[in-house]
Amino acid sequence: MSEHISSIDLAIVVVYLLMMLGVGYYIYRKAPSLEEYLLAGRTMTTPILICTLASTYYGLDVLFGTSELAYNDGVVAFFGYSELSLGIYLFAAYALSTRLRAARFTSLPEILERNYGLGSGVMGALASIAYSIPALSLFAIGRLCEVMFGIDAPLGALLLGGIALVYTLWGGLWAVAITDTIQFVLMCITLAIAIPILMWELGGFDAVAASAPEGYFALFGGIPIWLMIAYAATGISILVDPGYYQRIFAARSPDQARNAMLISLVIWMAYDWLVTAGGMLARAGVAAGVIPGDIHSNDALLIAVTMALPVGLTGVFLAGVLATAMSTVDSYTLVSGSNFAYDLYRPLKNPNASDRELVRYTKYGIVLSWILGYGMAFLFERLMALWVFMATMLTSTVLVPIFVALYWKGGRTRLSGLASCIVGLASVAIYYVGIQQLGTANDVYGTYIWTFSIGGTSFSLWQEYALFFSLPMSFLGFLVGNRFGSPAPRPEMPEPNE
Amino acid sequence: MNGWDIFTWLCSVGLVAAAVAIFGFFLRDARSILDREMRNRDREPQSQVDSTAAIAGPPNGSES
Repeated sequence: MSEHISSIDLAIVVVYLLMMLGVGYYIYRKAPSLEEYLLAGRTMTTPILICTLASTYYGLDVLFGTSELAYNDGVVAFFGYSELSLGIYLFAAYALSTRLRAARFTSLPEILERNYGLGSGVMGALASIAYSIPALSLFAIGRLCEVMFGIDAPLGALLLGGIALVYTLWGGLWAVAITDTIQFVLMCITLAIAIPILMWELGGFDAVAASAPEGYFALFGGIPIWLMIAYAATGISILVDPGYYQRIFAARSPDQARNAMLISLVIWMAYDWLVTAGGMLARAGVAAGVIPGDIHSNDALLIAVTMALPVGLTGVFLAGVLATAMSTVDSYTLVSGSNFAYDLYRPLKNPNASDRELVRYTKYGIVLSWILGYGMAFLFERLMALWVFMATMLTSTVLVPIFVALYWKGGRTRLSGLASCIVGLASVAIYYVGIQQLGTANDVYGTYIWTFSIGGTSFSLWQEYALFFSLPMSFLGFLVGNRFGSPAPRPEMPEPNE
Repeated sequence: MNGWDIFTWLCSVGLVAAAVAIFGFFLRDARSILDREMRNRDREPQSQVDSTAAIAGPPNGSES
């Protein structure tokens, strides 16, 4: 166990974990119906939505990934990587969230099912389940247990990830939302206290500047422009993120959904900057000899903060870091479970399934997703690359048909949605395999790059550019499919202000 | 104290203030939601109603 963690800190972490279980059990005793289990009865108000949106999107991958980038490259971690997707999030807040909530769907695949038929719904459900498997979060929980508590990573993920599984099974979205709220408060307050303490102890950004390499304060660093656009494009995934959709569907009204998203954006920005600042300050701490020089840059923020904080606050911070990961595990296992029951079992096996049966199958799906995530967490080496692939795959499969369903007033056939899904998915697979075969591995960026020249001019295609290829192909698939097959019935889609 | 220090302080203070305020509003909302739910349950005791249709209505585009 880390020498900076006392028994008081450990006791605080244990109290936090028991509190999470208590919340799950409390909701379980209220025996929630299907709508309560999946969508919290569509009664979520702005404050609850803010907490669950903010904490769900901030996983350990973002916490450690951003701080590692900041530690190595400086402020570009904030300006060049984290905030480029802001425009997409604003679109999601203003245009998408209100329209989604007004239409009263239950899940993302259901939009496809009701607009194009069962085949498209099934494709959407499978893509959503694959995307929502919590492998990265469970791996991160295990890694945290190893670094901070000296517990083997698989055992740590089993124990702490298991607690997230249990309270999600007990309480569904209400349990997830209430635990997310506690987790949100812990995440925000502990980081907001820790970073100023770290800044004060290390001499602030003057100390960072004194030891920083050249370009450390350059807003956009030396990132290639196309790569910056590709990173910004990763924000597109929020437009089809099933966890985001679930929260918007659970909102009490379209206005509350929009307001929650806008306030969450401001909170994400502040949180992003504090994580960036923590990574940069940790580097100054290493230069000053306060922090050991042999630490992995991935662990820099965690080690720096636990060294800076006094006993007691360290425990609260560790609970906050655990909260960051657990809020992601609970949210996405619930999404997988609801896809399994509501979007696969119900339409394929039992269209007349009762509430109780669907809740039971949702729980089976939650357990299945967790087990798959746990297996993958310790099976694959490049988990971040796997997650990026899953996000690209989901976006390529469902973005075009969903946006057509939501915004296009023209006619469409059943085949158009299915063709769009299939062509989008196939394009991603072909692009990834093609770049791996034709290109070479780049260890600096952890990706594959294919460089070729046309007419004496050199071009580089990165694996991260897949969406530039797959989204136009998916739209082409839609246009071609729309010329064939029977017309698809148009479900009622009320405007947000109706 | 340079500009980056000030920005960091602003983010810290803003985040704490936002977290405390949102948590306060959450407590208010959670209490009213739970109170209303309990009143509803008292009025409609024990009936296990199939609310699948109430959630989404029939899947118009379903081929099944």
